[in-house]
Formats: sequence, C-alpha cells, structure tokens
Amino acid sequence: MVRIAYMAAAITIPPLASIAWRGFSLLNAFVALIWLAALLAFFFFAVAYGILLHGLATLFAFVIILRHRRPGNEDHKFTPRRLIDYAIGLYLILSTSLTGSLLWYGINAPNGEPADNAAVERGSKIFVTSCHACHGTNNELAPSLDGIVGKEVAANPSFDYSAALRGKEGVWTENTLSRFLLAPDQFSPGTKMAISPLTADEARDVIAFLRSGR
Amino acid sequence: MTNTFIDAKTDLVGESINASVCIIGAGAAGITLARELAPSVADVVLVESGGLSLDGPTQALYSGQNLGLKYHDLLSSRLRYFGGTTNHWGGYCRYNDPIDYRGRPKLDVPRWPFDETVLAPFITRAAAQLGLEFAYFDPATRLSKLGEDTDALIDDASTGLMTKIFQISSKTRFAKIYGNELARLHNLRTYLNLSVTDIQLSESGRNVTAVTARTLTGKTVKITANTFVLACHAIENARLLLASNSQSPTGIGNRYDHVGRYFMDHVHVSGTKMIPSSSFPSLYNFYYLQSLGVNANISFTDPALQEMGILQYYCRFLPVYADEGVKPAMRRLQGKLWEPFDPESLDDLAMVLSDLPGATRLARSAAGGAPKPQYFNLQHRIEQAPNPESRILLSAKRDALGNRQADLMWRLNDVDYRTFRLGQQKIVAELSALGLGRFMVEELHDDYIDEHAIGHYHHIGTTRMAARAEDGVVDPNCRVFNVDNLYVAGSSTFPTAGYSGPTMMIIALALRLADHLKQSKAGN
Repeated sequence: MVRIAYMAAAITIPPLASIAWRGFSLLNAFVALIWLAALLAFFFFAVAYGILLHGLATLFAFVIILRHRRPGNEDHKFTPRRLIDYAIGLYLILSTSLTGSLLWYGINAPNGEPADNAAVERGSKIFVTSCHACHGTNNELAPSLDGIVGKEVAANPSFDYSAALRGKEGVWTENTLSRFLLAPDQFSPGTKMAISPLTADEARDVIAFLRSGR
Repeated sequence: MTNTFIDAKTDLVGESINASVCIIGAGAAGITLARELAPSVADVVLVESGGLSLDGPTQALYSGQNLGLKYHDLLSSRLRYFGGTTNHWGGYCRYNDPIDYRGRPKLDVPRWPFDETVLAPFITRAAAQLGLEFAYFDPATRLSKLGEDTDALIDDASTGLMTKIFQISSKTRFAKIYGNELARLHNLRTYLNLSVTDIQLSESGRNVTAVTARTLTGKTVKITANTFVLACHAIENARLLLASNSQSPTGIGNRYDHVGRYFMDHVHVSGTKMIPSSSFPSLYNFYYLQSLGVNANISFTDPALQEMGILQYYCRFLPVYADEGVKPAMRRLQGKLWEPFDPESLDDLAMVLSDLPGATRLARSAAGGAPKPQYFNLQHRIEQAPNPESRILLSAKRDALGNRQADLMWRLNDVDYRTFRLGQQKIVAELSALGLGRFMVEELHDDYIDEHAIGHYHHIGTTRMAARAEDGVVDPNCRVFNVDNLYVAGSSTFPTAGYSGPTMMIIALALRLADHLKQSKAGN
C-alpha cells in the first residue's frame, strides 16, 4: 500500500510541481509526456533505455527552446531566472530517472529474499560433490550454470541438449530447477545430466548457491 | 569414426563374441592397451559400456551410496563412455617420487613391487605421448624457460621444502585424439554400449573362461578370449571382481580379502590464510602459474617426509584479490554489458566501487599479471594412506542391468590427519622464518578435516599390486593372483596414491602391461 502511494506520488508530483512552477505550457506538457514514456521504459524495458530516452528528450527540448529564440522575443532570452527554470526542469527530468529506477528496484527486488548465507554455503558444497565434475569451469561436458535461475531452458547454442530438454519452453525457475534435480529422468526423460537425485533440502540449498552467483 | 565401431545394440552383435584379448573399458588404460596391442596381436576387442557421448541411463549404472565421509556423487565421478574419464581430465601430469615406491612401515604403507627405475622408460613414453617435455618437470628449467626468476624458488632457501611441478597436458581427450586410429586398426574391434556384468572362472578357478556382457536394451552377450584385461576404474574393477561370486562367495582374486579395500584419493582441505610479504614469490600464486600453463606447489623433500613421518603433502596458495562478492559482481557486470543500468547491475556496480583496489587486482590477474593479493588461502593436499577400512562395498541395490551397486566407505585415518597437521605446521614455520608472510592459522583438527575433506576424483588402490598373493590382488605384472589370464589396468593397481597425478602413471603402467602381454604371447 505504501509502495503504491509512493509510486503514485512519484508519477504525479514532479510534473504537477513543474506546472505549478511555470504554469501550463506546451513545454511543460512535453516534459510530462517524456516522463510517462520514460516511466514506461523503466517498467517494461531496462532502466538504461529509460535514461537514454530521457537524455535524448532533454536534448530535444533544449533544441526546441534554442530554435525558439528570436531577436526581440523577450520571452526566450536567457535571463538568470530563466536559466534557473531550465535547471529545475532538467533536475525534475533526471530525478524522474532516479525515481523510476528506484521504483523498478522496489518492485523487483523483494521477490528474492536476501540470500540465506548458510544455505548458500551448504549449496556450494553440494555443487562441488554433485555438479562441478561436469559443470565446472572450462568444461566442455556440460553448459555453464552462471545465472541459470531466470535463464532460458536449453539456452546454450553450442551444447547438444537432449531432445526432451530442448523441447521445453520458458526460463529456469527455482521450481523447475528443483523438479529437475529431484528427479532428473522424470522431469526430462532421456536427459544427459548424470546426477544422483538430490533431496528437497539439498536441491533448495544448491539452487540458493546458484542464485547467489558465487 | 562411428561406423567402424560396433554398436552392441544393433544386429551386428549376436549372442557371443570371441577374441584373443578382451579389454574391458575404453578409458586412458584401455585405449592405451588397444593402441599398443592391436598392431601386433591378432583379434583384440575393446568393450565399452557407453557410446560416443555422455548418456544418462548408462551413467546411472555407476549409482552408489557414499557411506563414509562426504564424497563426490559416484554416479558422475567417472565418465562411462568412449574415452572414459579422459573426457574431462584436467591434464595434470607428474610421475611418482622415489619415496612413493618405498615401503614406509611406520606409516603402514606398503612398497611397490618394483622401484622407479623399472617404470622410468614407460613414464618417459607416456610423457611423450602426452606432449610433455620431460626436462620441464624440473622447476628451474621450466620457469626459466617462461622467463620467471628462478632465484625466487624456495628450494635452496629452506630446509626440507621443495617445489614440485605438475605439467598440464593438452593431449587429454583420448576419444578425439585416438578414435580414428583405433577405428583403422584391423586387428581391433571396438564394441560400444556393451557393459560387462560378470566374470566366469573355470572349475579350477585358475582361468577366466568368459565374461557376460549386457546392453541396456536387454541383450546378453558372452565374450570368450584367451586373455582378459579389466580396465574400468578403481570402483568398477573392484565391483566386477566382488560381484562375480558364482564360484567363490567373496568374488574373484579375493582370497586374502584385499579386493575393494585401500580406496585412496588425493584429498585436500582448505584452512589458514597467509598475508604475503613483498618477498613472497609470485610463482607460487596458483592462478598466476595456471595462466602460464604450469602448476607448482610447495611440498617436502623425501628425507624431510621421512623425518616428519608423514605421507606426501603439498600446499597450494590460492590468492584472494578482493572482498567477497566483488569477483562475481564483476562477472555479472561483464555479462550484462548491454543493460548496465539493470537495478541488479547497479548493486553489482556498487559492490565493485566499494572495493576498487580489489577489482583492479582482479582485472590485472585476469590479464595475466600477478598482483599482490589481500591474502592467500592455503590448500593442503595429501596422498591418502592405504587404509583397509576405506573401501568399496557391494550394495543390496541393483542397477538397471541387475548388477549389485557399489557403495563407497571413504575414510581417513590417523596417518592422514597427522600429515595434514604436520604438513601445515612445517609450511607455516618455514615460510614465517623466511619472512615470506604472516599466517592466520586454522588448527587442522580431525573433525575439521573430516568436515572439509574434498576428494579429487582420483580413485586409487582397490586391487592393489603386491609381490606376494597374501599382500594384494594383482602381481607385479598386473595379473590377478592365482588366475592365469585375468589382468587389471588402471590406478586400482597402485599400492599407494603417491605424489603424482594418476593418469600419466596409469598410461605408463598400461604401456608396461602391453609389453608384457606381447612378450608373454598371452594373446595367442
């Protein structure tokens, strides 16, 4: 609830503040639009694209302002007051970027509880005895497990996966990884993965280790 | 390559196979034997349980329980397909030191039935086959060739410390390297997907008459030959001898109860940190030397080992360049080069910025440098004592072919604990005295060692070689005592684990066995 209120505030306050400061104008409407576009970019693409979009739009806004400057048009002279206005506008735009990324983070980070260090530690030992022989570094026997949680199933183009695994859609989740480790041959009949089935606790620990990226 | 090997699942294989020599298992030992024998001995067969690539159901024939200390998953600790475990061998090579052949009665360690001079010519051949320059086993020669400062070697500065080099071979994938050669040998037939499950003796028990082999598709094949060589590996060799108990309840070659015992590995335990002084030579930095394709460790001279009364020991120095978490953060950042502002990347960026000096050291190390680390983690590695209680046991469970599974009771004994403890003590004392670093010592108690011991996939010793039948399973020619035509190849015949990496020694012993078989005309 608090988060939603915060989100709503972040979305509405900066453009409203800008309008309150400058009064409604085309430029302000434009800034508000960029805002929305950037926010959408934050939520649906990478934050990097959002910031990129902001940068371009800001540049664009300044170009418009500069082109608007005509001799005798007092309204477009760079008075100190006006420079402050622009600075505030720029600040508002950049602060949106920041707000957006913080929001994105606020929404996405909580799905992983902070890593349970004891589980990661236990998982690292299981990795050594059950996985490392084939999935270890510089090994051509099996694909790397770097970032496997969230990675597409059968994603390595140079590895010859079993037909069953290649036929699977989607990304590896903790749930599917766990099912695979508990009963490799049921999850993926004819799999090439040679591992004695793990217990539920062992699977949870080794997945915690894989998630930790250590 | 494939079409000249024979897939036992097809109609090309009937109910029986007849040969002069039958080699069971196409790994480092089996492939070496086949290459050596087939040009001069008629009608050799090489029988491999797997196919040409990793396969889950075949690999599952290795299923077994770990009953003792935590060990690797037995299902994947060896590879069961053509080429065997050379398919992921790291290529570390070294021969045994002279002390490895000597008996050490105080430590209850038996001698090999011959000394280093007997094996030397075969080791030379094995090293050549692996593309190694024999002179490079000498650290000064090797390191000066690489432009390293050999004055920094610790050997002269200290008493009892010695630098020992492992060379890293690049000719490790036997299936790829020798597959075509084997396919072209006229005297050789290689069968794939055919698993030997039982060995049958004649009534007198002095001869193997046949072995039974099965496919996972349900076919049973009887293989007859004049000579049989078991070249699976230390668990499987012992398992086959123990499980072939139709004539004798304790299995084959087991009159004196040695089969399956003395399972050994090169065990390591991490513990103790060293903050190096500026004079600590970077050539003992594990990752730095690895980047040069060499491995050098600090170990002890033979006299020092004898004086301390311990087994072979060596210490590896693993550098820690940055705070925990910085290295994976850098790796993830690299992977996300195209989405640098992904919030998780922001976390990683923060992590890297929090330890910029460390990140810089990591980058320099990755570029092949040897920056001075924050500290080194010491990794202590020993040869395990031959311990009768560390052993392979047949389980009540059966595999998909109906054969009893092999369980592993992996155990360390007091000599092992003592070696870890005294080894570390000596390293700490000597390096401190030389002013090479300060130590934060972790006492290596028995419990700590049990908890942290990690095996190295070196399965050794379960059908050990001895001069007398009372002391082992095979004779100095690797023939099973009291069975005229059954031989064993591989590290299961080693009476001690020794300093070496086993594979080059396995190849050397296989070359020697091949010579013996050719000379004794065992194949005819």
